Amino acid sequence: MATSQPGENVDVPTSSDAVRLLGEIAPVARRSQRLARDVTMARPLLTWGLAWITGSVLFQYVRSPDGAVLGLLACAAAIAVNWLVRPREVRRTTERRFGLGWFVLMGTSPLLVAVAQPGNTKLTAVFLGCLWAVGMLLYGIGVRDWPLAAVGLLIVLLAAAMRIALPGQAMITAGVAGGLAMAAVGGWRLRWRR
Amino acid sequence: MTGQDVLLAELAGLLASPLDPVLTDPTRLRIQAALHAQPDDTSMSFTILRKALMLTDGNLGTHIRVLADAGFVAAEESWRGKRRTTLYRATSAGRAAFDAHVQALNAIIQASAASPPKIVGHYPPDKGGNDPR
Repeated sequence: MATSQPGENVDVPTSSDAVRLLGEIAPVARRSQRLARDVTMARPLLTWGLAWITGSVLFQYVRSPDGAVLGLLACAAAIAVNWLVRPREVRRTTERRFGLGWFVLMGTSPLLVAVAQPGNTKLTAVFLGCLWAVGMLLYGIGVRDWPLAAVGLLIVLLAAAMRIALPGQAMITAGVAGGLAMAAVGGWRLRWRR
Repeated sequence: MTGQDVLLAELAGLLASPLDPVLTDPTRLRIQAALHAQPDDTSMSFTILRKALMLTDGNLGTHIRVLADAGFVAAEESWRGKRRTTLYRATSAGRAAFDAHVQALNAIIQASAASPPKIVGHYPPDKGGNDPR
């Protein structure tokens, strides 16, 4: 393979070569950004999506307090999986800061529940789901991950609409629909491994 | 200042941005583009770069070494257990060189798109007999 080496005289490309070179680098840049985003968020979205689906179904249909405990266990499992299996292929120097942000959001959730005092445990779950969805929305905006931001926004809007229209179904609807959206985006992003 | 003078001044400014000898190789330009597309704080593994660029291991390895030697790419090793991953990111020198190179390529395109100026005066005739006068 013939390659030019540093220090050699530079052959000035023709105009058509320049057009071709610039045309080649644009898709590479897009693919690079997409891959970095997929690698970073595929597994967290998939595990959290599955945890939301499992947790909300258990919470809705298993008699309290066992359902609430099982729902929380599903979330704890998602946290554990994401902590233990972090992607090594893409690294951000800001990832500790973002991780701390998520930790703060989760850690302050009980305080916000105490402040808002939702009427029952299911409403508490909807409230927490919305709070974390806002976290997703803000994180998505922060790292320019628009599908993630869209999923966060969808969950908030859906939960709010269901809370007004069908309060008894708000948790299961937001949990399953939000979980499916997250798992679908996460599963789709896992294609980078192929 | 006439419109043509303004155009020539703009082109002269653009052409002042040099083509970088390291980046004149199309593969190296694409590698630098893939890293340049990431934020300053982001590094990518060899595997992800290879997937983004659709290159072979050998081809990517050869070119990325040249970019690293030129100071355009920084490599950092990360260990998890016994498994090593090398992560690459564009340095500030690499980013500046890439921007200048892209600017130079754009200048070439703009120069060819612009109508050739009417040359008057003191150019000596060249050997091929293509005296612009």
